[in-house]
Amino acid sequence: MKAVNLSKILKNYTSGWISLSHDQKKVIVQDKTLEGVLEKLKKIGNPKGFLMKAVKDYSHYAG
Amino acid sequence: MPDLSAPIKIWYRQFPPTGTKWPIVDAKFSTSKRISPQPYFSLIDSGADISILHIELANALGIDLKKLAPAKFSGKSVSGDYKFWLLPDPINVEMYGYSFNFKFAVIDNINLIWPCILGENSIFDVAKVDFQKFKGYFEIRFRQDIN
Repeated sequence: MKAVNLSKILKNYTSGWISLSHDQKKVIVQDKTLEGVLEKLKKIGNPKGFLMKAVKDYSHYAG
Repeated sequence: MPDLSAPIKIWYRQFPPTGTKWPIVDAKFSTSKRISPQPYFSLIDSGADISILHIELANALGIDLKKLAPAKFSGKSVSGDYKFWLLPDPINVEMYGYSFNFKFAVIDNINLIWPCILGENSIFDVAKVDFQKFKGYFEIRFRQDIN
C-alpha cells in the first residue's frame, strides 16, 4: 500500500465534517456539524470509514 | 528499555490543495457515555506537549464542557495564545489493536483542522514513532509493558 492522496476526493469538501469510506476513495456522508455526520452514519448502519474535518487547505499548518 | 511491538507501518496521507503529507493515525475514542462509530483522523504532533480534542469531538463523546466552567487555561501556539479546557477524566483511545487512556485538552477554537492531535503526553509516552517522510511512511512500535 502506498501513500493515500486524498486531494482529489476532498477538494469539493471545504467545510464541516465528513466520513470517508474505508477504502478512502469516496466521501460517504457530509454535514456542517460532527453530530450531523454521526446522525447520518447511524441512519445508514454505521459503515466502516474514517471521520475527519473538511477544510479547504490543510497546508501551512504549524502547531 | 521496554519491549516494543513489531513496527506498524503507516503511510502519510496527502491532503488538498497541494497534497501536503501529514502523519495521521486512525484513533477511536470512547467515554462512559459514547463510543465513536468510526476512527478519527488524528495528527501525531511531537511539537505539542498536550493532546487535543476538537470541541465538536468532545461534545460527540458526551463531554459537557459547560460543567467545566469557561475555558480559562492559556496555551501558546505558533498562531498565538489559545484558551482550553483540561478534561478531568482520561479518554479511551484505540489504535491498531492497542487501547490506552489519555488525558486531553479541548481547545476553544472551532476552526481547529484536526479532530485530534496526539502530542507528547499521549502517543509518545506509549510508543516509539519513527518518522520517515522521505520514504512516505512512519512506523509506530507500541510499548509492550503497558498494554
